[in-house]
Amino acid sequence: MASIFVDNYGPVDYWERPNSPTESYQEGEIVVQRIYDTPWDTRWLFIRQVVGFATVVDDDTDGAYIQRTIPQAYFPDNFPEFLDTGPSNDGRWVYCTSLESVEGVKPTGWDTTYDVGTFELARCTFTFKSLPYRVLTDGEVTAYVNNLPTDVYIQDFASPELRPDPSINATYYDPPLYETRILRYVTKKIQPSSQHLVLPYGKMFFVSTDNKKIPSNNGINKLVSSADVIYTWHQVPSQDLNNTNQLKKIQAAIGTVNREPFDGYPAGTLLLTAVNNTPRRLIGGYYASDIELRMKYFNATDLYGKVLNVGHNWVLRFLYDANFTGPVPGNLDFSNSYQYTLLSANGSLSGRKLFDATWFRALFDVSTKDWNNLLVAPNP
Amino acid sequence: MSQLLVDHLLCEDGSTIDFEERASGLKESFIANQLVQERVFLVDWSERWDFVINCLGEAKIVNDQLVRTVPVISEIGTEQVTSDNTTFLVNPDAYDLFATELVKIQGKGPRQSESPNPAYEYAEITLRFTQPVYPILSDAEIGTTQDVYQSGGVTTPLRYVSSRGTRIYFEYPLKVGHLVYKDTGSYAVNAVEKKQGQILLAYTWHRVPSRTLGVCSQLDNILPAIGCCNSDFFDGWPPESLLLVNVSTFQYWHPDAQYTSDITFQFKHLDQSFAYDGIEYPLVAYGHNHFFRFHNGDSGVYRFTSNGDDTGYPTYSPINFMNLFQV
Repeated sequence: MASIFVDNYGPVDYWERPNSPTESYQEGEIVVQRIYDTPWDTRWLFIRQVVGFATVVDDDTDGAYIQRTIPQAYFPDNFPEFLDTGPSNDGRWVYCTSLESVEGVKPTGWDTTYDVGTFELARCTFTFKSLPYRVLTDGEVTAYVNNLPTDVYIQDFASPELRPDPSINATYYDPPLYETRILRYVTKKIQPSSQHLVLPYGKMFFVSTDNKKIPSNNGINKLVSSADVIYTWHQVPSQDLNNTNQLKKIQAAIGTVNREPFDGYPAGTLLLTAVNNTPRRLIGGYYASDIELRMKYFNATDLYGKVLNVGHNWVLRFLYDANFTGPVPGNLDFSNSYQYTLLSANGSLSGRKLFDATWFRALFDVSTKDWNNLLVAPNP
Repeated sequence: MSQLLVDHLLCEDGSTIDFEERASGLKESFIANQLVQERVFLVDWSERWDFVINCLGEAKIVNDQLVRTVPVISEIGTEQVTSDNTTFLVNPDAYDLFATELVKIQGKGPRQSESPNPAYEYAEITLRFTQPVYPILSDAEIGTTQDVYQSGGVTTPLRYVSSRGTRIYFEYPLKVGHLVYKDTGSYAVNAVEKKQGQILLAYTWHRVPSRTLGVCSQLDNILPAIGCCNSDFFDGWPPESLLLVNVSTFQYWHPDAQYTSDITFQFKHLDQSFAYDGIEYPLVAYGHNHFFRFHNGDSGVYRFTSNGDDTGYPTYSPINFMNLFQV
């Protein structure tokens, strides 16, 4: 016999059935089935604790944040350990994802209140799977974030004029349990892609020994590297049916680029293009959503494939330099060729850019805080 | 009572795991062009996952190097005798099957400890053996630890890389005024299309361990290479003849708790060596940075740069494709 502790109730006993668990690995996934017996009357308390759930808590100090009870992990002795260093160091990576069935064992009578049979035991069959995202407890997240250095956003550019947003030179604070650091319950998928740029006629030439610059007969395509970066934020609890308030906040950011370096991407290189919302109900009836945020990543490269850390507001421009002597690796200012240049409404840094910049960490925040006020100290 | 065959598995670290095989557990099938074998083993419960991982093989990044342990092989009997006493080979080209999937682990015997850490006397393990579509070779067999080998400007995939190609046709529009009718000498009124054969090639690099959960960490190296062509020979394709047009990944867990990817590189191959009067220029890349040009009443393929000089920028930057296969 084992027991599981349920908040506001206490321990609930359960017994694992003979021949349980069964383990398998097929098509890139660990799947474990476990069968437990537990007292009938408290079966749903037990099930909710094994499957896990999430709620939004509104705190006077920090505003709203997500509190999670994580699902039971499958991590017996002699089971492979996930060694990726991260906020959780205990190596667990397989979690309960579904309840397959509940069957009554040993009938005891009839419940006239709910008009159902009653039993001594509930036989619960659970499925555990390897998940593509981190599952961390509130305590693990808090301990990890409290040990992080203050977030300092200073763009790593040789010249301040080259920053996508020169105003980003600041520190700010958001509470540990805000999921803005995308430490848990976020799957990230990168789908590389490319786009065709048709180079203008007369800007590139056939190589010839007679020193005649013969332009192409046709428009020439150039392939430019980019990627679709898709974040899926799982089990985001909501106070309303469709997570409407959260979606309204995200909707306002569609068509904008990241104002701050986000998840390792330099400022200005991620463009939020679309959001998909999949409503669901967590165990216990809580409304929730899986929110998919689709972003387009673009970071211009030089002739040698080296990234230049300039993003969507920078556009290819043709130059011609009669004194050109050859390309320089990593140099943004390469002449006699095409060069990425910042585009603005008035041709100066102060002009409005093609894509406005917003705080992308705010996309993963369920509070109603104004992120512009989260800046706590400008950097010198 | 089913027969049990007793043996031991030699692990990569030199240790051994004793096991018994249930002779009656052997199943063989051939469905959808896939030869499959299932075998059932009995192993001490505490050693079940060591046994499985050593059977399925491993891939890890150690000191920035990709270290592979190849899966165990199950040989299928190749010679079968028919009723008229003629012999035929079941699978004459490649009869080795590799352990690729764990169908099930089931606890057997008395339970030795209870939940949450259940344990049994022994584990009954059903493994599936299949024939992957890529070469699986040990370090000793290929003489290197690399999946893709480069020497003398030639890059060659050796193992864990599969490829497939589809021949396509590329519509190549010609400008009005460059072609004349044979008899009258007048220009063609409409733009016409020249057909240039190309091959869409996909190379998949299998079972590449990732440094982080959820994302293929190699993409940081690979992304900037999209839109670039090969600077060296790659798998026999001449320089500048392969253009990396896209990359896709399939990510999954390996049973040793290593997040893993299959990375597919999509290349477009262009060889215009035969495009001009049937003349072949062997080993010369008339690839993606060469374009069709009308010149002095004739046509041919010429290199194309930003300044009309070899010092200028070509349309597609040539890079070393060996870098695509680095961890």
